[in-house]
Amino acid sequence: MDFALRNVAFEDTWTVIVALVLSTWFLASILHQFRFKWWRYVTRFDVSNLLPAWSFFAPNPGCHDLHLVYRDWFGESAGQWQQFYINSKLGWRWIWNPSRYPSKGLIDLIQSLFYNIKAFSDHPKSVLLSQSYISLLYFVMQQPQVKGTTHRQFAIVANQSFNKCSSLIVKYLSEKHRAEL
Amino acid sequence: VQNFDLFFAFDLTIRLVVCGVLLGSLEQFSIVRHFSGNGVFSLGTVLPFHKKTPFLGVLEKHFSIILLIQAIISLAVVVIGPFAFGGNILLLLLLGICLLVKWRRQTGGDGAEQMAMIVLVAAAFAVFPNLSANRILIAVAFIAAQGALSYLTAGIAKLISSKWRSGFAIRDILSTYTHGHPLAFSWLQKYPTLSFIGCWSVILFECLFPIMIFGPEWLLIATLVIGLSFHIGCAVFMGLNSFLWSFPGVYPCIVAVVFLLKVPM
Repeated sequence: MDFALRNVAFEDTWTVIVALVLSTWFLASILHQFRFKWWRYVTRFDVSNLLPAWSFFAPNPGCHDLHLVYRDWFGESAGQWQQFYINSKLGWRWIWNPSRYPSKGLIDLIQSLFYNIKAFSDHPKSVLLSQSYISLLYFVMQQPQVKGTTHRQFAIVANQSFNKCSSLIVKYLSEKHRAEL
Repeated sequence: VQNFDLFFAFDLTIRLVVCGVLLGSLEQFSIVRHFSGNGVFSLGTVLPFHKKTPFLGVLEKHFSIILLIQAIISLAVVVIGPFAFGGNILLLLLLGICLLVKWRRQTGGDGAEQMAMIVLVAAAFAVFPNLSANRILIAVAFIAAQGALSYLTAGIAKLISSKWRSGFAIRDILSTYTHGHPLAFSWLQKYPTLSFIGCWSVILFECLFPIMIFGPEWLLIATLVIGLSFHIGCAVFMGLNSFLWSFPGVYPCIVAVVFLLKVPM
């Protein structure tokens, strides 16, 4: 009897805790949509990214493809720009689309870099120490190199791939970094 | 529709959303090379985002096995459901692995994955350590509320955007390789009115979603059918295949809550 009562007490307590946690989470989710400046102090603790951002493709819809390109330098002469391609099969994407992961991964890094460029506009060199810059630089440096490469440089360019009238826009040009073979 | 009870809605939502998790784990398994060597998610690329790295080395070695385990557990949850013997343990394990994979990857997540995580956490609360009708009610209400919030937020964010209001947003999104389609773009470029109608249809549908679901039964069904068609369209033309599972996946919970609120006390 005592055990049964204790079980009921535990059940009730746990239900109240669950109700409190989920209602707090929902209220926090509502606040998260407003992107208040002070809210950033709260989101720092959201390590698992459980606060959702539901403003898909708005207010600024992604109207351009962002491409990561890089080129090798051989002393003072520059090589050709090369693009990092992620292919996806358009006909099957509605059911099977594995390329969305690396594609979105790169876009996230690039968007984070753009955010940092804006945030550090007073000290542009600080961007070189940002997580996204280091991450993109590491990724670019890992791509195959030809013999004689002394430095490598990357850039972010944008276009509308299916729009034949669209021109290529250079969004960012990195520093030259020493290549180590 | 009125026969939707909370348990059925919860069970159906979990199975549908976990179908999306299964798809995601198989997709990531098929591109596991991107998690090593010179891939986008290689250890060195994600390292700047990790504060503590005790498990990263181990995770790196066995990542393909972890993705396979995630797929197997997902399949088991889809087949037996959350109420079967051991279903609660499987849900908890799946949640743990999903968090681990997300943590390892750091980037590359999307809204569908966020909705799946929300559903999994709420489900784990509802069925662990034991099944509870009260906690199922709370979880179903929470999932339905997040579903309604997602459409409302997306709608308002589009309404305040000049690009969406002008009617060019859909045409321009579809002009990209990342989220576009050459055929759909060529139609919209030829007939800009279609793009304008499309933009405003999306804005109105998303903004009015939380109101329309509380209308008469035919309006509720129509809203959910439009929602499903919208996500099929996004999957076909934009490649957002995971959204097709995560968002219509929460519709059963929405229906259950709507009918619960309509029943006279």
